[in-house]
Amino acid sequence: MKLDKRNNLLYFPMILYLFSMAPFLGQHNSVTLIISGVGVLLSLILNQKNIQLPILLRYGFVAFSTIAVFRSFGSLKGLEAGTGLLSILAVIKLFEMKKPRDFFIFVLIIELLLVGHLLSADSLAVLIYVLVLSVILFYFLSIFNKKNEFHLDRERIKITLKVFLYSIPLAAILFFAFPRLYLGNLFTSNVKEKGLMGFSEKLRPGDMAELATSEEDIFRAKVNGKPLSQFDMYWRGAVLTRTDGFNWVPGYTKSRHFYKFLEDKEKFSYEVDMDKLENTPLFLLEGSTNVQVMSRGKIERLAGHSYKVAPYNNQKIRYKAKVVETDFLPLGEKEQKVYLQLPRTISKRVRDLARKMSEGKSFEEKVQSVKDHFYQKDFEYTLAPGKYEGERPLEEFLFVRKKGFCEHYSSAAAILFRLMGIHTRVLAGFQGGEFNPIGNYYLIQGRDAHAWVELFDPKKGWIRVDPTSWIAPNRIRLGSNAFFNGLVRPENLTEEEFIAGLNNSFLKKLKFTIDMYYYEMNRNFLGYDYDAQKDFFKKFGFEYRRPFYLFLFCLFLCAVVTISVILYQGRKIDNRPDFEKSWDLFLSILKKKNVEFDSYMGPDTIHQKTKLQISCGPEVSKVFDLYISLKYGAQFDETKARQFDAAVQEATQLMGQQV
Amino acid sequence: MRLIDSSRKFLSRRLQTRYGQVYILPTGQGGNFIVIIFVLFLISLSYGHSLAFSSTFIFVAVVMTSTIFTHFNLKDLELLRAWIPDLIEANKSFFVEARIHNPTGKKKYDLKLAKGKSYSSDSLQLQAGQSGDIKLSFEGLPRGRYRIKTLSLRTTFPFGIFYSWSYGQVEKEFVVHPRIEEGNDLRKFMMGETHEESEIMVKGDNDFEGHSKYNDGDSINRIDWKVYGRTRQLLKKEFVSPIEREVVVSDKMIGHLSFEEGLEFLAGVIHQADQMGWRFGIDWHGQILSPDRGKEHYVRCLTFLGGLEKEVVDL
Repeated sequence: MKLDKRNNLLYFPMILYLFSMAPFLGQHNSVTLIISGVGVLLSLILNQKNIQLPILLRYGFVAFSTIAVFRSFGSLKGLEAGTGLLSILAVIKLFEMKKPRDFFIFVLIIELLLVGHLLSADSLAVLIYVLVLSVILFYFLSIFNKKNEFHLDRERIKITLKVFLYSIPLAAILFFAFPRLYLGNLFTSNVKEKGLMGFSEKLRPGDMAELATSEEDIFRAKVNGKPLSQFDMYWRGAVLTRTDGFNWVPGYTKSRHFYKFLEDKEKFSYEVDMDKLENTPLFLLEGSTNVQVMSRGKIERLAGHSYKVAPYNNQKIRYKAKVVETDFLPLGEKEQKVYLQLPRTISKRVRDLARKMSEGKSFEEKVQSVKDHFYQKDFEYTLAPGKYEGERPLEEFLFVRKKGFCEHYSSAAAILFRLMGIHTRVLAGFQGGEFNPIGNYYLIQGRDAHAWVELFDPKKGWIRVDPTSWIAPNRIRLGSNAFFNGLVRPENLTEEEFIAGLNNSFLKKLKFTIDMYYYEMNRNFLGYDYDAQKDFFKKFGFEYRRPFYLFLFCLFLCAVVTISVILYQGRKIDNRPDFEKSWDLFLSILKKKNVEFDSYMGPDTIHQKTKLQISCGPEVSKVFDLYISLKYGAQFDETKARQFDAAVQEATQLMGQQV
Repeated sequence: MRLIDSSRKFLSRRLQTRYGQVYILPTGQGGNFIVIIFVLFLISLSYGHSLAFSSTFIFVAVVMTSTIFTHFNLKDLELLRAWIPDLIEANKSFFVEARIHNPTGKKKYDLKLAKGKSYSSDSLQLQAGQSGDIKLSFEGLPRGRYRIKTLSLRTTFPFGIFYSWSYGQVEKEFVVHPRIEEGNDLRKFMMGETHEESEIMVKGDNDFEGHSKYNDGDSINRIDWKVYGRTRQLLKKEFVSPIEREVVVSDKMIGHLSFEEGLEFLAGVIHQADQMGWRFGIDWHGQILSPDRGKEHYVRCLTFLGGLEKEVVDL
């Protein structure tokens, strides 16, 4: 079937489609991407050949895509399936881009798709991107509304920007003042059980290498109190208790405190804003209690004083906690077994090593002997140790290659401690973080990922031991930034001075400033929920018992803004030359003198009618003559315009009216 | 479709927002957009998500602001005058033209003239203080007398989400004349091939006066073929007419034809007479339009035929 030559009706929507998809490819699965890609190529080829896809084939494409998405996600509900389906629907709309109506529906689909992407990304930067793209979409809507083709029109760009600009106050009022009610979960979302990039609740030595080399932001923590030292900042994530001889998993899930929290001895409090959406354990400092999740989600307490949150529908996790002093709590019978669990597969050579190091030694001496072993036997810290894939990876690590990073050392040390009869668990989380002095918070990045162990000291309770510090002390002392960048601390500087000095450059300060704005905007904007809204209005002295009162207030504000826009937009603008205004004045006086004429009549006709209806002297006729000369003359004459004004004055005075 | 039409009528009667003389309602696409915004609103409430709220509220604000733009794009415009063609033939499309004046200080965009469901295909852009003409095409109408009371001006500026319209008073009556039956040859009627045709009163056609040059459009019957045979020159015969040639159509001529067919036949004769430069007139049951020639008389005769036995219908 041949089509009219309207190829440009496809190219602009196609470009807009690509812009609405390209930054978010990671949010789609392969099925959606393949179908969308094939659809775009097909529509391009068909358009080139000027062929329209028969309607049956189009319906077939829709049916096939829907089934494929359903099979891929197991449901058509939820954000991922929804955005997948919308991306395919937009492609299908490309097949039939002929009329303004088609483009309008295409825009609606794209807007929904963008909001889907926005929810998945949960970032303010993405909101700005979506807004810019929406302005472009509306601009094309505007020119397509004018004529059935796409072209560039500066005037329409201005109008579109004007509409968006005028919309900002109204949108802001609705955002801040519309009651943040909770309507219940109407649209279920499949939150995937996936960890942070490279971070999981399991520890397989080597897995964290990718994460530990990335500078991706993981979370930001604001501490209310003194700045923390590197040694204070062990962000406990997953507590791993069960091992197969090299790898670790969280085997013991019974909830229980392992410390006695001295609530009245608070050291400081802190708030954490996760930068990623994935479902992860909460990262808490040692001695954290009163853990409260500020974003929507259900908190779950796990063994070993760790927590997890099932985030509610793609909201980034925000939580706060306070750190207090802790006291010793003895281990229960079951815990004693759990923290000594070892598989039978551990080789005799490893068992012999542990026995040799622990024979006749106290708890402290046993710990020291493991430290000495790693320190003296040429172990090397590297993020690229290669994979330990043999049958006996622990033996290979301890006796052959001796290369690894925190995961390898923690796993190996923990197994040795357990073989020595010390109750041990492995911790996976983050250590350190870069302090932002402008925003007064810590930024924890992928390279801060870390693993360490906790031992149960019969006299003191659980204590932290970091095997990495035996091999690469600067990783812990100076932080990951200095360590991985190979920076060397000059001898005349303390560690604190050295770290502070790293942040003094102009570029670093600029980076801190930008990051601070990003953080604060995200914190205040994304975290604007029911409670934050209540606090916000409380600051302005407006306390309401029921959201309904806020709703009324919101309506009132909207009405004020809308009326203001109406008044502004409806204001009279008189761009005419002054002599036209004088002419209007003159005509209004004639009307008051009961001269009957219609507004469309020319000056000559009005003159004739005036002559017939009132006694009209030469002064009045002069006004008409001068007006005709000014209005229909070849060139505008300044002198005549002045004469005209004077003539109007004179004539009106004669007619007994004051100008 | 009927349901949609009646619901639109209901809406425009009950829910229309009236700003002086300007009315406003969402377009079909605008309705879809409003539904989508409502879905987004539900998603926002369900997710309790600030980003979802912000995007939803931005769209709400854009829709509300665009409503204001749509309204003011039409406000204060004046319909100065409207032209309807003098002669409109039955079942043939025709244009009504209107002059719109923009007395405001702002440019107006995408203005269309509308009557009922039909609206102009081209849109008018009017600079501040300027006037412009816009045409509205009408589908062919059956013969009869019609009246256009109002012509509405509409716009969907800026995004096509809302459309506003405003009525301008026109109060014009016009007549759609019968279809002109082509191919009538008055000479044939002269010879009286049929009874009806013989009723046509043709006067003149008497003494030969001389030859004149044949021009395109002249009747072939007047070519002197004898001269052509001799000289190969196309010359037409001229006659001395003691009385001018004229034709008067009458009601008696359409005896065996249906009323409408008869009127079409008479309209064809009048047209033919006008083409040939004859005088023509009408005798309709004693109502006489005296034979005359010229454009005005031609219009008068066809208008007379168009309005026969028809009441005024409002469009």
